[in-house]
Amino acid sequence: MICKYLFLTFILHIDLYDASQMVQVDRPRGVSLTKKVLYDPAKEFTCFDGSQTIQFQFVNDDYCDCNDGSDEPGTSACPNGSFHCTNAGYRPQNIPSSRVNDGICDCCDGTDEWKTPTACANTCMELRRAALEENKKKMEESSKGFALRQEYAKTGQAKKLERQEKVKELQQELAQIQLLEDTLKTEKEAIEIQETAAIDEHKRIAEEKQQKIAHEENLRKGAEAFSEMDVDKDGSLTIPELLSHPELDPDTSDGIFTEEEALTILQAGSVDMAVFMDTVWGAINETFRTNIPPPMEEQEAPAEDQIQDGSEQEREADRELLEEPEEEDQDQDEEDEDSDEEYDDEHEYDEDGEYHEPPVLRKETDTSNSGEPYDEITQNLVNQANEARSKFQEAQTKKKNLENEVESLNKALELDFGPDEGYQALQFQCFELLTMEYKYKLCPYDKATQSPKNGGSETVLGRWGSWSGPPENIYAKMMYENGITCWNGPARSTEVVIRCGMEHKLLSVDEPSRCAYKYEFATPCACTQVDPNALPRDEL
Amino acid sequence: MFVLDYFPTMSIYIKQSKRCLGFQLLAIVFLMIMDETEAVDAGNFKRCDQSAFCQRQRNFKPEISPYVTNIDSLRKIDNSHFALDITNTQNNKAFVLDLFALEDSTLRLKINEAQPIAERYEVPNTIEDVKAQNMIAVPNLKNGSIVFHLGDNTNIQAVISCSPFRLDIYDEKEPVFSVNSRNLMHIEHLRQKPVPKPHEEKTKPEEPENPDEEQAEQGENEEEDKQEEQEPQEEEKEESDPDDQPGMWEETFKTHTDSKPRGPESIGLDTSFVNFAHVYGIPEHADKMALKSTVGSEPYRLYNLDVFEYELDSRAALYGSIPFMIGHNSKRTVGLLWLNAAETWVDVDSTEDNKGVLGTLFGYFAGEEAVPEVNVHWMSESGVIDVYFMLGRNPADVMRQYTKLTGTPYMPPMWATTYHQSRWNYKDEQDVKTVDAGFDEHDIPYDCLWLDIEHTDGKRYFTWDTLKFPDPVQMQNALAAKGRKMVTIIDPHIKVDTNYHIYREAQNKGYFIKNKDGSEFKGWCWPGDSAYLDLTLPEVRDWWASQFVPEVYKGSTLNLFTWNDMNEPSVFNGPEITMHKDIIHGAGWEHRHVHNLYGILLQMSTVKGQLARSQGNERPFVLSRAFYIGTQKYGAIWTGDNTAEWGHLAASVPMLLSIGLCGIAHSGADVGGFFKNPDPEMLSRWYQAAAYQPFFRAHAHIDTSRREPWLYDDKYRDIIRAAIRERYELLPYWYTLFFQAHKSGEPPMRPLWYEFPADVSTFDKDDSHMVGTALLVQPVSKPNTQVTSVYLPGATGWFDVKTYQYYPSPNTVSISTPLDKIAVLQRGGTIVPRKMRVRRCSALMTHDPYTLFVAVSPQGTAVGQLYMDDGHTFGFQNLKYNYKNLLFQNNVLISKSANPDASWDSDAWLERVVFMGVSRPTKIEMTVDGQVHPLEFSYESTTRVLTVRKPGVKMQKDWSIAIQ
Repeated sequence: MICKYLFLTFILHIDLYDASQMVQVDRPRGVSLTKKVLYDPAKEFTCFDGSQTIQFQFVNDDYCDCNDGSDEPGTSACPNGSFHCTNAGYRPQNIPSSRVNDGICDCCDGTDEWKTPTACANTCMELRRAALEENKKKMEESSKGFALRQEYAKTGQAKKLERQEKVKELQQELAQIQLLEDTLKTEKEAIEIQETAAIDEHKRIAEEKQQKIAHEENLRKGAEAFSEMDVDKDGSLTIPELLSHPELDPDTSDGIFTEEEALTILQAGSVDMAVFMDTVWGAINETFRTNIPPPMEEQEAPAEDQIQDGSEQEREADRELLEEPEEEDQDQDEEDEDSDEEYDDEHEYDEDGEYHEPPVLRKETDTSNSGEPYDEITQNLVNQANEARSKFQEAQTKKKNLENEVESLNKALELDFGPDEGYQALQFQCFELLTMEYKYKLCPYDKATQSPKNGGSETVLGRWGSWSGPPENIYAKMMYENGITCWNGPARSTEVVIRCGMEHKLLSVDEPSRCAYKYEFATPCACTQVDPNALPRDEL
Repeated sequence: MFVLDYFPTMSIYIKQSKRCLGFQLLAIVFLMIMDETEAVDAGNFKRCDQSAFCQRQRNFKPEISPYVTNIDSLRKIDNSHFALDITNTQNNKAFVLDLFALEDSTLRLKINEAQPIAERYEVPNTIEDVKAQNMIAVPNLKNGSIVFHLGDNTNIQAVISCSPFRLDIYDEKEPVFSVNSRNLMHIEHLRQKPVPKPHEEKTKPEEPENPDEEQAEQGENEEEDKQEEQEPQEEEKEESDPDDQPGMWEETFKTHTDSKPRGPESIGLDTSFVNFAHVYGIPEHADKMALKSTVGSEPYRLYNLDVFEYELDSRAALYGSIPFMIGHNSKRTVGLLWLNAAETWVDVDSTEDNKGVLGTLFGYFAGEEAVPEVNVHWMSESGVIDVYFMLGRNPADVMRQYTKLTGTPYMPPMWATTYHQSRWNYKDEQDVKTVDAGFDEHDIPYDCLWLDIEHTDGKRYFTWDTLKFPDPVQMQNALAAKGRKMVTIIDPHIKVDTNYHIYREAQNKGYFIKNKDGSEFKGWCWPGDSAYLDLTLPEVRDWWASQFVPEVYKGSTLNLFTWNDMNEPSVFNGPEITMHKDIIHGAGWEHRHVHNLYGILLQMSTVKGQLARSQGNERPFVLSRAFYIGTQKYGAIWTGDNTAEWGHLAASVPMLLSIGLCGIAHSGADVGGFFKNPDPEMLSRWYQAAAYQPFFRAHAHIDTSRREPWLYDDKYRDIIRAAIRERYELLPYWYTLFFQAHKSGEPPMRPLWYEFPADVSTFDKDDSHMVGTALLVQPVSKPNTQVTSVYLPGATGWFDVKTYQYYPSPNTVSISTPLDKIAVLQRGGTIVPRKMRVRRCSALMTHDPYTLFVAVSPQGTAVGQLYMDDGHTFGFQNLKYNYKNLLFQNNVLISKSANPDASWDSDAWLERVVFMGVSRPTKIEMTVDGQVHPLEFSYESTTRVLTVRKPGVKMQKDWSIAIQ
C-alpha cells in the first residue's frame, strides 16, 4: 500500500522555474503539468494502475476510489497519494497527500493548505532568492574547488607515474644487486672454507702445545713435592715422611692418617724419586698441598681458564650472527608488519624509508684459545674472509632497502586515490578538529583518532579501511575500521563523509551511535565541474 | 535504566568519563568484571528465607487458629459498619475487627490491634471515597456465627465464625471467599524490645513480669515446640523468648543491617478463592498471567525494586507492586485487594482437594465432585489487615468495583496514546532535529520525542546541558509547530550540590529524607551522591509540583511532559538497590512502612505540577516506572529495563495483561528491548505487537546501536512504518477504549477470558489478547513464523483485519503471518472506528473523517462505540465530547449519542463504512435530520465485504444507514 514518494532533492544543479515564464494552467488541484493530460474532465477517469474507472466528478471529491490514490491528487483522501505543488518561482514539489490540509505549510506557495488559503504565506520568491544565492556560492566554491582538484589530480597523476617509474628503476637495480649478492656470497663462502681450515689448524697446534706444557708442569710439581716431603733429603720418601702431609689421608672420615694408609699410597716402605714419579705422584697430585707458601700467579691460574672459556662461547655466538644475517632480517620484518603500518613514525625505517641494519659484529684480528695470535697466513685468511662478509652484507642491506622501497611504492600505488588520483594530496597529512571536549584527528589513508583536549592518550577511532560510498559514487565516504574496542560494545569505527570544499578541512564530528563515529570532511578533491548551463537563467 | 549494585554503578560512572585518561585503566578493570555478568544477579535480592518476617509468617502453621472472637462483642458502628473483638488465645492480645459494606458488591475487612503500643501504619491516599451500603447482622448463637446481609446486593452474605475466627463470603449461597480457614492469620503485635539478658542467665529463662506475658510466652513456646516436632530438621533455637526470635530486632542482608526499632510487626492472612482454579494479578512479575502455585518454591514478592536485566519466568519483585488479585471461573469473577504498602510476599496454593474450605464449611455441601480452590497467603512486613472483597460478578464488574475503590484510569491526551520515540539518549538539539526530520522524510508518524538523563546538566533534573541543548524552548516549539510533544526525564534523586537550585532549596526547607541521626540521607544514583525527597510529606509534594511551571523549570514549555524513572526508589548502594528500611520519613514512619508508595507519590506530585502550569486545563502526561495501587489515576507505566530477546517480546503480553487487570490502563514495554540489539526481524515483530499495546514507545540503552526505523533495510523500515500507521488508523478505537477505561476501569488491553468468561480454554491464554471487545491480537514472538495458530473463542466468528477473511468460531485456525503481518482479527458483532488518513502526528488528524468497520455477526448484528473530544483539555469533564453508540441490527446501522447533553463541535465526518459478512445490497440509504438520501457502494462478493461510499455526515450527529 505504501509507495515511495518522490522528493526532489537539493542538488547542485537546481532548476528553478522562472516566475515570469509561469502561466496558470487549468488542471485538477495537486496535478503536475506533465500529468494534466491524464485528467480529462470530458472523460471518465481511469486510475493510473488501471484498476478502476470512475466518473470524473469523483476526482478530487475527497474520497479515495483508486487503490493507487491517483483519483485524489488534490486532497488528503488517499493514504498513498501525492500532491503536486507548483511553487512558482521555486522548485516544484510532490508531497504526500497526508500533508494536504493538515494545518502545516509544506509548499512554499501554500497550495497544500487550500482549505485555509490565508494560513500560509507564499514564500517561494524568498526561497528562490536564497536558493540562487546559495547556488551561486556553491558554484563559486565548486569551481574554485574543482580548479584545485585539477591541480591535485595533476600532482597525483605525476606522483603515480613517478612511483611507477621508480618501481621499474628499482626493480632493475634489484636484479643487478641480486647478481652481485650471489657472486659475493660465493666468494664469501669460498674464503670462509679456507679460513675455517686455517683456524682449525691453528687451534690444533695451540692445543698440542698446551698439553705439552701441562705435562711438564706436572712433572715439575711432582719433583718439587718429592723434595719437599723428603724431609731428610735422602732421596727416598718414607712412610713417616708421608704422614707429615695429613691432606693425603685417603680416608678423612676418622681424622687419622695411619701408617697402613700411607703404605697403600706408597705401596712400599720407601720410594725413590723415579718410583714416586711413576706410581705415586699420579695418585696424589690432586690432594697434595705444599706447606711452602706458593707464589700468587699460580693461585689465579684456574680463574683465567674460565674467562677464556667464556670468551670462546661469545666468539661462537658472534660467528653465528655472521653466518645467518638473513634470518635475522626476516624476523625483524615480520615484527614490523605486526606492530604497525608501513608509514608509522616510530618505525626503524627513517623518513626516506631507508633500512638501518642493526650493528653487526665483525671478526677483527683475533686470538686463539691460548691467546696465541694467528700466524700470518691464518690472519690473512681471516682478514680476507671478513672483507668478503662485509661486502656480502653491504649488498644484502642494499637489496633489503631496495625491496622495502619497492614494497612501499607498491602499497602506495595500490591505494585508491580516486578516479583522477587527486586524493593523493591527502596522503601523509592529518587534519584536526577541536570540540568542547576532544581533539579529533583524521589522517586520510591511515587513521581517525580522538584525544582529550586537555591532553591525554589518543584513542584510535578506526584505521583506514576503504572507500565506502554508494555504488554510484564510492568516493562519497571513507570507512575507518577496527579502532579501540568499546566497553560492552564493538570496535570503534568512523565513517567519513566527503564533500566539496575549497580547502581540506575536518568540518564536524558526531557519534550517532555509541562507538560509531561520523566525520564530515571537505576537500577540493570532491568538487565536480560546474556545468555553466546549470547556472540559473535568472541572475536576479 | 539499570543498576546491578556496587560494581556496575562504578562502571557507569566510569563509562561516562570513559575518555578521561585517569579513568581508563580503572574502567577496564571494572568492565572485565562486568563482562562476566549476563543477567540479573539474583544474589542482590532477597529470597523469602532471607527475609525474617517472611520466614516467620511462612513457618506459622498452627493446627487451629489462635484467633477467636465472640458474638457478645458485636457492635454496630453505623448502618454499614460492624465491629467485633478478636483475641489471640496464645498471648491474650486483643484486636478489633471492622467489617464494612461498600457500594457495588464490595466488603471491607479490617483487623488492627485494639491497643497497640504505637500506631500501626495504614495506607493513605489510596482508597477513594466510596459509598457505603446498608448491612444487617444476624447472630447465630447456636453455632457461634454471625451472618451479615447486604442491603443492596442481597445475594451476598458474609459469615463470621467465632471460634476460631474465620470469615466466609457467599454469593447466591455459594462460597466465594474464605478468610482464615487455613488458620494462617497471624498479627505480630507491637512490643517493647526485651532488655538484653546478662550472659550467665541465658540458660535460665527470665521470670516473666506478669502472668499475661507468661501465658503468651508459654503459648509461643508450645507453638515452637509443635513446629519443631513437625519440622525436626529445623535447628533447635537457643532463644525461646517470643519477643526475641532471629531477625525480629535486627536483620542483615549482604552488607546492610536493618535496625528494627519497632521490632516485629508483620501480618499474615490466608484468603481462599473457593471454587476457583485461576487467579490473576499482583504485578509486577516477569511471569505468566495466570498465577502459579508457589508450594515448594518462592512466593510472589511485591517490593518495588530496580532490577538489572531482569529474568523471565520469575516471581521476584520488580519495579511495581499492586496487591490486587482477581479470581475467575466460568461463572464468576471476583477481586481481592490487600491494602498494604510494605514489603509483601504472596503464597499461592491451588488445590482440587474438597477437604479445603468446603470441607470445613457450615451447612454447605459441595456434592461429591471435587471443587477447586486457590488458597492465597498474604504476608506483609507491617501495617494492619485491610482487605477489600469485590464480588463481581463478571470481569467488567470487578474492574468497575476495583477502580471505584482505587480510582479510574486517567484520561490520557490523545498524543500519549500514539507512538513515542525514545532512546538513551537523543544527544543534542541537532540530533532531535534530525530524528524528527527522519520521521517526516520516511513518512512515519510519531507524536513524541523523549530525552533521557543525558539532556541534563550533570543529571541535575530540571536543568539542561546547555552545550547540547542551548535553546530547548525553540527545540520544543519546532516540534510543537507540527503538533508534536517532548518528554524529559525527571527522577526523584537530587544531586548533592549546593549550587543546584533544586538541591539547595529542598535542603534549606528540610525536604530530604533523613538518616536515623537526623543527617541528610545520601545514596548513589546517576548524579553520584544524591539526596532523596521525602514525598510522604504533602508540603514536599506541593513544592515538587511547583517546579513544573515554565517560569521555574527553565527551558520547558507546555508541550513538554515528564518521565519519572528510578522511583522505586533506586539507590545504587542501598540494600537491594533501594532505600534502607529503617530510614525515617518526615511523619515518623520508617521507610519499610511506605516503601511501595514512594514511586506513586512522585508521579502524583508530578501530575499535580503539570496541572498547575495550565491552571488545570490541559491533561498531564507522566510516565512512571514504579507503580502501586491507584497509579492508573496519574498516568502510564512501562515494564522497565527489558531485553532485546524474543522471550521478552513474548513476556510483554502477560505482564501488561496482569498490570491491566490491576487497573493500570496505560502500560507498555520498551519496543525492541532496552538492553542489547534486536535483529531487524525481532524489531519488526516487536513493533507489530506493541502497536496493539496501550503505551507504545520505542526505547533503547545508550550502549545499543541506533534504531530509528529508517536505519534498517527498506523491507523492515516499511514493516515498522506499517505497524505504526496501523496504530494511528486505530486511534479512534484506542481513544474510545481509554475513555471507557477512564469511566469504568476496563483495561483496553485485556485477556481473552475477560471477553469470553465462560470459555475455560481461554483462562490460561496469555500469548494472545484482546484490544477492547473487538480485536483479538496474537503477536509473533519467534523468528521465522510464517503461520500462527490462533484460538478464536466465541460463536460469532472473526474477520482478519487485513484480508477480511472470515473464520467461524470457536475454533483454532492457522493464520498466515509472513513478516509483514501478525494475526489481528475483528470479532463478529463488533464495530471498530478508524481514521484512514494517517498524518505526521495525531494532532493533525483531529478533524479527519472516520471509517467504520462493521463486522457483522452470524445473527446479523454488531455493536460499538466512538468517543471524540479535543484530545488534550479537560473540556470533556464539562460535556465537551461526543460519545456515540453504534448499533447494527435489522440491516440498519444507527449512530446515536449515548449522552445527548454532551457535545463537542468537530468537522470530522463519516468517510466510509465497511461491512464485513453481509450480502450484496440493492440500495443503501442514509437518514440524517429526517432527510433520506441514497449512498453509493461497492461490494466484494468473495469476502462479502460491502463498502459504503462517503456518507459524509458529521460524526457528532445522530444518523442511520439502511441496507436493502
